[in-house]
Amino acid sequence: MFKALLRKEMMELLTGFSGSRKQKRSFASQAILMAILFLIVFGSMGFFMYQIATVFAQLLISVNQTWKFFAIFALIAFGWGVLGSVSMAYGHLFRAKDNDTLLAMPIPPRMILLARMLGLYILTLFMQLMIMVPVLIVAIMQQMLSPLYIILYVVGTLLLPLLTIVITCLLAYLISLIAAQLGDKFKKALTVVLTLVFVGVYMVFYPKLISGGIGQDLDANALAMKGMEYYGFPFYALGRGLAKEPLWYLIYVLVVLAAFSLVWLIMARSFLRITTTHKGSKKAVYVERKASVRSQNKALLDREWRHFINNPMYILNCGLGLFFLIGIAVYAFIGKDTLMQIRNAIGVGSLLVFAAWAIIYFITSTVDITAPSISLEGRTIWQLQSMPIPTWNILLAKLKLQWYLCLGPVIIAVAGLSLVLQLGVWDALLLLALTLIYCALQAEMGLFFNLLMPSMDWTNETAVIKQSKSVLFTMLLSMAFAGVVALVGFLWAFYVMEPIIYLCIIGAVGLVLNILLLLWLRRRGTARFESL
Amino acid sequence: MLRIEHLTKSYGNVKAVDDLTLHILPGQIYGFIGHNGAGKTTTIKACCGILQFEAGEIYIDGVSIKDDPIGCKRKIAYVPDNPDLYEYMTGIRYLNFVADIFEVSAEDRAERIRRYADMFELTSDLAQPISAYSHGMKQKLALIGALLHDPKLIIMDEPFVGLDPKAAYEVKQVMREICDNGSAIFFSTHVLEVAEKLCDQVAILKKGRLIRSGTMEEVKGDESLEEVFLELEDVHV
Repeated sequence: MFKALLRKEMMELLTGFSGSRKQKRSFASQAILMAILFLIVFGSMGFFMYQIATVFAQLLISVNQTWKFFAIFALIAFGWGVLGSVSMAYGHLFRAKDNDTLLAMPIPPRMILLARMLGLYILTLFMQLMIMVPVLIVAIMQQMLSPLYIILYVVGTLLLPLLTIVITCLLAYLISLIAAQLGDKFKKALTVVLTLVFVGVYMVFYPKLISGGIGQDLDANALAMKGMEYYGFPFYALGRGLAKEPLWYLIYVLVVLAAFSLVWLIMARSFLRITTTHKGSKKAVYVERKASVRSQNKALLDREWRHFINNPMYILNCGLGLFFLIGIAVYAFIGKDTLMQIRNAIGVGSLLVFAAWAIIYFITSTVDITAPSISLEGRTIWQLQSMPIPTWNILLAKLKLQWYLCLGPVIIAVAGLSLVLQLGVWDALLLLALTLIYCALQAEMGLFFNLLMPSMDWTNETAVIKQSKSVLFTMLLSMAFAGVVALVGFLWAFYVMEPIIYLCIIGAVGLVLNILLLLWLRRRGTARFESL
Repeated sequence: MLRIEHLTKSYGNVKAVDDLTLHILPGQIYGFIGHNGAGKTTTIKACCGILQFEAGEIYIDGVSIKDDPIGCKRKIAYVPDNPDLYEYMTGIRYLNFVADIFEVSAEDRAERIRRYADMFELTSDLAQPISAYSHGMKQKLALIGALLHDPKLIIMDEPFVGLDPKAAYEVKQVMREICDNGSAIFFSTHVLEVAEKLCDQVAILKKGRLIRSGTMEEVKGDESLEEVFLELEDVHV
């Protein structure tokens, strides 16, 4: 029975990744496409992590503190996994559309819950491997692990997602308990607010913990490690364990398994009540009002907007970067000293514009509202297809939503950074132009990938928002692109050309990509939409 | 109003619709009958321009749906068998969205929404989110949405599924009224009694091929439609 549940869970995951059954692409071409994309994503992320891990390893080996190396990267992978799964846990665990079907079957609710938690586990593992694999390679190359400890590292990595989902499930449980008291009306807002608070706290304290641990300031170092010992105890134990202290490793294994089992059992006790309680909300009274007549395009844009704001998963997974953009502007003023240090290190001019652009672009790469927007039409797609609307206008409405939503936060972020970094007017305008070019590109890329890899047969919106290939590749390819552009800049371009020229090249490449993608969407994209 | 000429649509090696020809005139209610998987929904979707087909032609009011899909869609209303609507909208917002897309004036949409929502007893629920609607309520809302732009041709796939008896009665009345005003209705159904009482013409489809069509008298003669249908089910195509 549990196997069957698990199989269903895996099938849902695979459906999210493999796309619509209507797609006529052969298995071989699908597999090749997948392999290439995974190679790009894993390759670029892996390269990035490898570089960072190498620096950390050399630093920590020199002070004979290899345990910190494992502890810090386990913590980074944990945080990466939490960020990836926190927004979907509630919907995935408690609000799946097949709740009624499964609960009507002779299956203990705790098994349904366990299967769903393991679904989360797979997704989290996938994300964490992007960090843990390059770290393992570095550890082997730096001769930090013997063959036995390599095996222990692998087991420790496989256990790590359990720890991540303990946290995300607890948050989901908290949301479900409060939502059950407040009613459905507040559930959506509550999910968004609580998750943002959680992410906010994480963003504030997490970097301090990690940077303190490897900094030169001994007091900060000791304080951060003390914090790790108490608040990040499992990572501390794993770090110690992999630094050839087997007792610590055993403690790590026991802590992880105990925490997971405890959370599962606590949640299982109220799973049935949470999934079947619908407090509902007071029935809204209809009062006839004179309707405002809108154009087709405005109506389409409004429809996209309503879909976005009515789904907390959509906001948190695909629009989290919008909050980060505003956050970076706020941080610019709070962390003014740090930014000024960066400014003094880099110097004024185009190089500083480049650094500011790279930061903002990295954040905007997490905004991928268009990436699941085709898949989200799902079974309702007949409506748009049967209406007298040019298909291009439908696609344009999806692009416009992301463009318009990004515009305000981008201006705020650019203004904040420009003011604090004391950029000149022309530099600030250059920064804004570059950012807007790549924001536009991000929206088009999301739509492009979703038209290439739609998934229309889903049973849960979370599946397409969170697990679909289009979302994954849009976000990770953009991040990878930001990383590659930065690396090329700092490792090569700035030695052979003026930074302003490199910035102009980046801008020109962005513009060309924008034009190419818009042309593709207008011609091939519309045809693909019509054939869905 | 609707002319289907030698329509053929295949899924892989299987012909879902095979050389189908039908003519539906203004003012007619045309019933489309067949067993599950006979090709009814495929035909209907092709007529609405949401399914591409490899052979044949479909004309809406004399215009090919391949040549001018937007123009044809302006004249059509489509009600699917499973009313998957935008659950993130309220009923009234959905209707206004449909009205905006079909460019219905404020006065016309207000009058039609009031009329049909009252008729289907949905007025008090219009401010509710569609996610809170039952299957029948969604079906009613889809019907109201279909009637908002006063279409010349209404294409419906199993329109009576999920409707309560009163709503089903009202739908039949509205169908007749619409056709009396010169529009046409093409709908599929499994409810043979409804087809027998309501339709001016019927077509029976089996394994994608048309096996009988014409006026009700021509198709059934002295027998009941049910008897004819069951007899034809035994005929090898």
